[in-house]
Amino acid sequence: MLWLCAWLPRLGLDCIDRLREAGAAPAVLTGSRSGREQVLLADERARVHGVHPGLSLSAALALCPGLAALPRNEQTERAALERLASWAGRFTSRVCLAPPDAMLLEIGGSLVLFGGLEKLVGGIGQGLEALGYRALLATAPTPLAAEWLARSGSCRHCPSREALPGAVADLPLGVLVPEGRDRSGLAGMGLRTVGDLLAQPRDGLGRRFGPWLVDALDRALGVVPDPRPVFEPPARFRAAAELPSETADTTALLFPLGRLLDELSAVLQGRCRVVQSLHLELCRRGEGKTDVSLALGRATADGTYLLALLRERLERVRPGAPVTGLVLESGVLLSAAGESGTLFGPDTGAAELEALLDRLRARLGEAAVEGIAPAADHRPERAWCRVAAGQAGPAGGSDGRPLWLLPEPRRLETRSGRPWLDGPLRLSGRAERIESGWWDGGGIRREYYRALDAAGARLWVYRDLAMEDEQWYLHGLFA
Amino acid sequence: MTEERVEALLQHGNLWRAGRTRDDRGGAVPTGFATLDPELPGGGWPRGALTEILFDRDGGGELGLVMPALAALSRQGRWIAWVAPPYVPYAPALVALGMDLSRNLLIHPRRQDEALWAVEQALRSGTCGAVLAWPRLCDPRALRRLQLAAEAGACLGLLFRPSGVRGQASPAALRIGAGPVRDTAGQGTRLQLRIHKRRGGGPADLSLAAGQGDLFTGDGPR
Repeated sequence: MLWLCAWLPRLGLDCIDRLREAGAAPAVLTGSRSGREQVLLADERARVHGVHPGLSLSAALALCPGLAALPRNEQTERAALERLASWAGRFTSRVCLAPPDAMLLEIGGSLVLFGGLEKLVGGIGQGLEALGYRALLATAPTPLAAEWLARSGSCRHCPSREALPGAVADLPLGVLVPEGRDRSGLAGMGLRTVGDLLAQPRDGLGRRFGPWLVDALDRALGVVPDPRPVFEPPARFRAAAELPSETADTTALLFPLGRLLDELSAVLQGRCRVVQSLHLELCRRGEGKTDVSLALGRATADGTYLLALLRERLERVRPGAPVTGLVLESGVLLSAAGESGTLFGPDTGAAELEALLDRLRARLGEAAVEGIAPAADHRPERAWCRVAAGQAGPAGGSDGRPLWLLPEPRRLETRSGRPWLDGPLRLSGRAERIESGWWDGGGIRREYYRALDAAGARLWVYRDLAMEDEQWYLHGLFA
Repeated sequence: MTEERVEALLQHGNLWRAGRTRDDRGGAVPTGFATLDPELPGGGWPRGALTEILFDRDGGGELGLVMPALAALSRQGRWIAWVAPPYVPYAPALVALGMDLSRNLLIHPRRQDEALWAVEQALRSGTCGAVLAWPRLCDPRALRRLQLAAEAGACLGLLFRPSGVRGQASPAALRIGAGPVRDTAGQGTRLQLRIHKRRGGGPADLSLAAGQGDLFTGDGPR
């Protein structure tokens, strides 16, 4: 077994900072400690101004007037950690959370697949970086030792259990004992490092500090087992993000939305999953939210494609009040193997067509795209029907029908007993009597003719025999 | 080397050589009318380009002119997109002319700018064999965009426009006027065509006589 620990030292800051475009103002994460608002984490640009963790917020603002102070949100951090654990499923099936800001991956079984430790560790680091998270990585044969190595910032890779005592020997006691009475007690004994602790007799340590300390040492060295619950990735992807600065302009949402979609896309690709629907909530200042739902013709894992569709939708959304946050939630993650189950079967061009349909529907509305088919009815206006694009109709064609049908028959003038449309109409061919539909109340009794108007256009006209005055109507054009 | 380059250039769809109406790019869809094909570069409607059909009056045969080509494309599995048709394309007649309707898309935009956008998307998608549109207002810049989209998607872009726009500049590869004339011999009409613009050729007049394409027989369409 080989465990990799990914420690995210700036998780709280990264959660928000990655939603801001490059070149934004210096930022710090703030929280209240012992009753006053202070800096918990500071980014590089803030550090340049001398802002560092522990400083009070007012002092930090005095040092750096343009500073963006982002309040810490532990829920957001936990959710981000779980999404990253979900993403990490691409490297191994055993991912464990090490809250609040680390995760553990059992990579012993993945080394061969990913071409060795160096490549695998490099791949994980780059992947996290691309998603906008800074991580420190370390490996060790036990999960606890890996966590210590990562959290100490040493980023060491310890290959075997024999090498473990040596690898952890120079780590400071802080990795294992939280600040407080026990730490001062150990310091009082002259113990500074894990190595110092290992050199002490175990039963003495146990008597003085309780069994937990000895137990931790044993778990780290692999003397006793250290079972960890394996993280179960959720069935849906959900990412909620508070915006670094609220905005009324929906185009300003595209950057943070793109980051969330990148994350979705990375999770999907890593786990061979696709989504067929997405739901986006724009949280407005004060009360209320605006919903944007997206249903796709073809399931996809492509974040850029999803962003393009959402961009079309967002262009027409007016939230009314400034947007303060985004919630992106996917439909159930589908297995990518089922991807061929599309509307149009596996023929080539289906993907392009579904992409086209998705784009058209996203901008024009669901009902704006349709197919047509002939229907089995003798009444001309009912001899066709709307169907879903790509569906074949139930009936065949019929001869002698015009290419254009008027949505509603248009009443024609009659002059000296003949139909008239910008001139007299010349009827040609034989009359076609259509009588049908008496049983459903939509009965018709008509005599259809082809007609030629003065300009030579060919029309489809009828005389309504059901009415007493036997009016003439224009019903179609032989275009 | 130089010859190869020249040859490569000649293969390029954007290039045409003066004095050559017929080329062997194969980038054309036969119209289905034996007297029309030889007049068109490539022997048919140009693929990857705009074709403008200029007409005065709905019902003059302007749609029937392109139906054989559209029916053939649909049977090859290519999609036919109708963007904002002025009337209902009548399914029984389309099927009777050999159209595979399951390959037809009707797109109903609400506004003119959405219509142009939808035409561009459909042309560019690479999945449509032909896109039909009836743009009301279309400035040269919009036409240029559509022309580029048609090139990108190797699609037949058919724009039905009033013949009044004949004098305006257009990037379309083919502009063809269509209107009915009374057939002196019979009772029906014939379709009079005037090619205003084609790649590698001057204007030409022709009329589709009775019987061609089964559309303009003496007593109306079949």
